[in-house]
Amino acid sequence: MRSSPRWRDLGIVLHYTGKILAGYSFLCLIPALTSLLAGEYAPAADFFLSFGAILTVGASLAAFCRNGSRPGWMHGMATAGISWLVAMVVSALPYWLSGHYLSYLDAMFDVMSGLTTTGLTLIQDLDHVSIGLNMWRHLLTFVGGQGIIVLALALFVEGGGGGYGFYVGEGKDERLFPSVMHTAKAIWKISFIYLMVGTAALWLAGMTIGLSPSRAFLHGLWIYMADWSTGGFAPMSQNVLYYHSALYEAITFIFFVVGSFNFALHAAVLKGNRKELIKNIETVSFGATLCILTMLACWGLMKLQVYPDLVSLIRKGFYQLASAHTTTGFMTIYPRQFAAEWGDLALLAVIMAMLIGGSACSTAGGFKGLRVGILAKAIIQDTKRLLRPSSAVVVQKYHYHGLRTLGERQVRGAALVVLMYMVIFAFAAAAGCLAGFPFLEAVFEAASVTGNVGLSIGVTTASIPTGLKLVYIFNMWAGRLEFMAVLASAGFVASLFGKRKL
Amino acid sequence: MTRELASKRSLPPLVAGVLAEIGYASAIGAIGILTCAAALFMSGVL
Repeated sequence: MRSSPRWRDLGIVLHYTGKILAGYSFLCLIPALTSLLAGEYAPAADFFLSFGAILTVGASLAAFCRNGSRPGWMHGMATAGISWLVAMVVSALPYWLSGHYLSYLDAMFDVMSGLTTTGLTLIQDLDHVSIGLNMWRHLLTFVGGQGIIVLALALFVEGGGGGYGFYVGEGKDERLFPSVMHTAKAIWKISFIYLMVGTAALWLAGMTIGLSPSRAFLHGLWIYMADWSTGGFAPMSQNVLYYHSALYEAITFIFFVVGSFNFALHAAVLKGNRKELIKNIETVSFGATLCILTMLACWGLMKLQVYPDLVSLIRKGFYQLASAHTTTGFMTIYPRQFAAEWGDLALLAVIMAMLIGGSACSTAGGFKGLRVGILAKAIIQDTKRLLRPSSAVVVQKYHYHGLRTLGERQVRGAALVVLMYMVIFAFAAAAGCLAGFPFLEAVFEAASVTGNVGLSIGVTTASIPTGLKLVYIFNMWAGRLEFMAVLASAGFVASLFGKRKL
Repeated sequence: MTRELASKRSLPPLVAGVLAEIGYASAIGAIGILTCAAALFMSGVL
């Protein structure tokens, strides 16, 4: 019996990484065909070239690293972590070929931002990007929201015993069905149902504000992809502010809230269990923290008289806060308005909202409402223990797809994830301060990258130091995968080169 | 018979589920709007 990985295990990991990559390469055909339809032949050539390159790399890895072994839990976790990094490197190729990036690192930053549904961007001249490139940007964020491993599992990777390891490694641990492949297919089915509903709603809204039908459709599709995935990318540099439409803002609000729900909750509700919506600890926790933080933000904004009337307070203040809490990152203000107008108290509310985030096993980031709910229940349980005789047994229940008893294991798991989020958040904030940004701005941007949000206070630009870009890339990756796959990948690589006990 | 009629009248679970989730998100939005109104009221603007 052996406990640490060997080079043979690396072959298994690379084989499955190659398979995932080979399947993933076919995504390039969607923007390639879009470009051809739009008469954009140079971008179409970029995407066909990228398709060939990614397919070659993926197929080569899958073919040369084949050793016939079935993947186990460890291989699944390491494959999930490494696949995301390899996907970042290869997906940057069409970005770099477009000429809209100052360096390949900037292009990789945008890919990681898209795949992790963060939404921060280093692109140059966004308002004049080709239709094909915009399709690629939003497709990456849509696929990243569901998960590239979930896509691979749904389409072609059989996974074997390590299938669940692949799935958990991507920050999802809810099985909607006993089979992981069926679960992955169900996640995509739910996303496609909402893709049709959301795109149609935004298409109509776009036409009411004067966009041509074709432009309204493309903007509706792209905004919806970023909306559902809680991504925050938009085809215009002014983000959602560009549309100046309360209807557009209302529709995006509804779909980013729905997008931040747990896929297990979607499955339960779509099967007819609608009571789960109001009983689930995550939706209760989300409603409570959103109300408290809205109150805090409004208090701060009112003190400074930033938005003196109800309409602007809702469309600017509440929208930004809800966008932060669902980790979407859509903005109806300019980034520098946060720094110049909002004040410390309102910014504190936004930072807290970004760190908490949406639901577990969803497209959202942050340390999740489930963990906030579990920790709140644990505090209630411990308070009851203090108030009752020492011999009394205090049982704390919570509703999460049925009534469950709170145990030490759940509390420990939740506390560890929250602690690790706070550690990498502090790391990114320190990196921002070291790069010369004011404390509050460094903390705001650190919360945005760690929680995969995408709201910016103006720190993230192509001119920030390379080290800070690398820290932000790491935080987006680690935050999205919720550490397990990151730790597994790091441990896997370290043990390959470490001394082996005989 | 009554159950049959009731099932014919009700929406398919998928449509009802989508509408329930959209309704829930709208309710969250309404609560947010009320919270903003309450904040304005307390600060003396409303």
